[in-house]
Amino acid sequence: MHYKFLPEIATADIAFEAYGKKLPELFENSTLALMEVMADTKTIRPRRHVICNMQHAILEDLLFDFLSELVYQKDAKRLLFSKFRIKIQLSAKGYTLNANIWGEEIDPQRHKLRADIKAVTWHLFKIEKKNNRYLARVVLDI
Amino acid sequence: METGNLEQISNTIWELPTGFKPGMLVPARLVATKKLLQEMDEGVLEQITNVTCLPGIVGYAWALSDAHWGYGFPIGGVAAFDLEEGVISPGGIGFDINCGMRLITTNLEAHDVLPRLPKLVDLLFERVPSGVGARGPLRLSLKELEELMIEGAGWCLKHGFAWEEDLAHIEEGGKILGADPTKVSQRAKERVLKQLGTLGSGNHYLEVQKVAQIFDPSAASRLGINQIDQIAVMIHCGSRGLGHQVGTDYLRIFDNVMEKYKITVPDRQLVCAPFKSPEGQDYFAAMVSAANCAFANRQVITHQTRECFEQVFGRSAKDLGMNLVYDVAHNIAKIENHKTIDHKSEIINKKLLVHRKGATRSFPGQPVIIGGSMETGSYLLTGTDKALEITFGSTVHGSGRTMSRTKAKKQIRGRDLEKKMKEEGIYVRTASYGGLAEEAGAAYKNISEVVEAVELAGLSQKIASFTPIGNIKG
Repeated sequence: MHYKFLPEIATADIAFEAYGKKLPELFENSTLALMEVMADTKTIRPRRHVICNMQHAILEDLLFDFLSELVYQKDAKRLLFSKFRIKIQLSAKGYTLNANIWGEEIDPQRHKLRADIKAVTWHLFKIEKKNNRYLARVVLDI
Repeated sequence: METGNLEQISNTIWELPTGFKPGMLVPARLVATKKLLQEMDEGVLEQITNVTCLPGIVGYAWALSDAHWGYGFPIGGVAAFDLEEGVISPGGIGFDINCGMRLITTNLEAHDVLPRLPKLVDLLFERVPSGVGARGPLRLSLKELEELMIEGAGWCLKHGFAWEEDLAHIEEGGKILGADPTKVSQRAKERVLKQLGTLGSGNHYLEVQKVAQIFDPSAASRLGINQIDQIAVMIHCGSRGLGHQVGTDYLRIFDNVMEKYKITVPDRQLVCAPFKSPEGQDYFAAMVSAANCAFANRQVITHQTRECFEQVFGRSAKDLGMNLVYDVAHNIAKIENHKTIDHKSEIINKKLLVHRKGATRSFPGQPVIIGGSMETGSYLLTGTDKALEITFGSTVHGSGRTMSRTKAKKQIRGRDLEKKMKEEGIYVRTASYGGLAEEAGAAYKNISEVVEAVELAGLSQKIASFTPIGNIKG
């Protein structure tokens, strides 16, 4: 399972858990979950290529900032994404993310649109490793 | 909610004393009937008592009848802080800065509108874009956007999107002083640049309503509500991507300065800074900029709505009596003078920074607009002296959710709901059937119970109620 939505938390908004054996997979599945909140990603063509690089000492903060970047892209550039290749490296400086993401401009006629995300929240936000698998829990303000 | 720890102060006021958990500086109080209290989620207690731990808090922290858990503060949360010693917290305002409500009357009656309702709602759906990626009608430069952030609804008047008389019917005249666009990030400005005049998504809506009941005929008449079945329009939306990004930006900024100011909070969403600190002042200026943008956004939507009515009914909006009753914010922090008594029976009489998170200002004589779910209807009330006395002049904002969006979408099919609403006489257009299902009436508390509770508590008095006949949603 790449991710699942959590019906028992976030009454007014949407919460998900994403999974991955390694960090890149975790970040890709978190991205997929966030995108699926906003649209059926099968309807989004991977036509525009965006590169995103960021760094943070703390892994949770890196994921928070990256997901927040996607929310910004949705409004400022009117882009939604369906294909993601993410690399995460750990060094003395902390975690470095290099993301190549593909998508296209929002088209209400073609895209099956769902809920609009206002922001990623810190509420119950976590990344943990359990049974050799990473788990990220994210609550989104709708 | 487990109510064993609560002390009943009156039939609608309950208190959690400072001994409830370590760090509480003041007690928390809840406004609710016993039934609403028992139905509230436990998160409300945890969050409102977290708020009582914030430095410089004055009086009680309040959770109102529609309270449910949110980010930092609960939704339906009110707290006031000393300007010198206290903090400002984005969690006490929300990501959607100045999400608020607006009510517009018409001189039409239901029988005038029903034959043309689908045409009207379809036109509104076209002209007031909603949902993910919606693009509004305005094409502003950055400079014009910055002017709008300072001028609020006044910008709309200058540019032909408002009537002069509209401004007097908006909280703060639609322009709060203290905006500074230089404290708003470039990213926040970029997010909103194409969104002005759009509704958003989630629980935002534009609703064509008919008057269902009039509780106070003379107060109603003063506000232009004269008869049952009179048609009105209610708008619920906020500052769009601007407010959302300001919230995100300043959560980060405050997160990084908490240590500098030696503040710790039990919940990361409750990060704050001293109001008088450079960071606190910057956030206030950015928040006010976003709040003014929200007033302007609701004004542009009003303009578009008036144009739609003109097109469908063939008369000018002035002839149709499309006057603004009022526009209120329900996610905001305001500097206000308050006189009240705290838990030590000491008189407080000074300027305070009042945070209202999913809570509406309810000053004496001021119209208060409380939106219910899209199936149940809404209320117009008036503010009271009692609200000033006990809750820093605050009341509820809506009915509050009882069921998560994910659960609602699993239990309800959007298309079935659309059909059911049509059978109930409500014509709805939506940008997302999933979104529609999430907003089903079954997912919300009973608005009438919430309103009865605040009336019983004396925070606001009912003037009229409205039921929906047409709705557009994102």
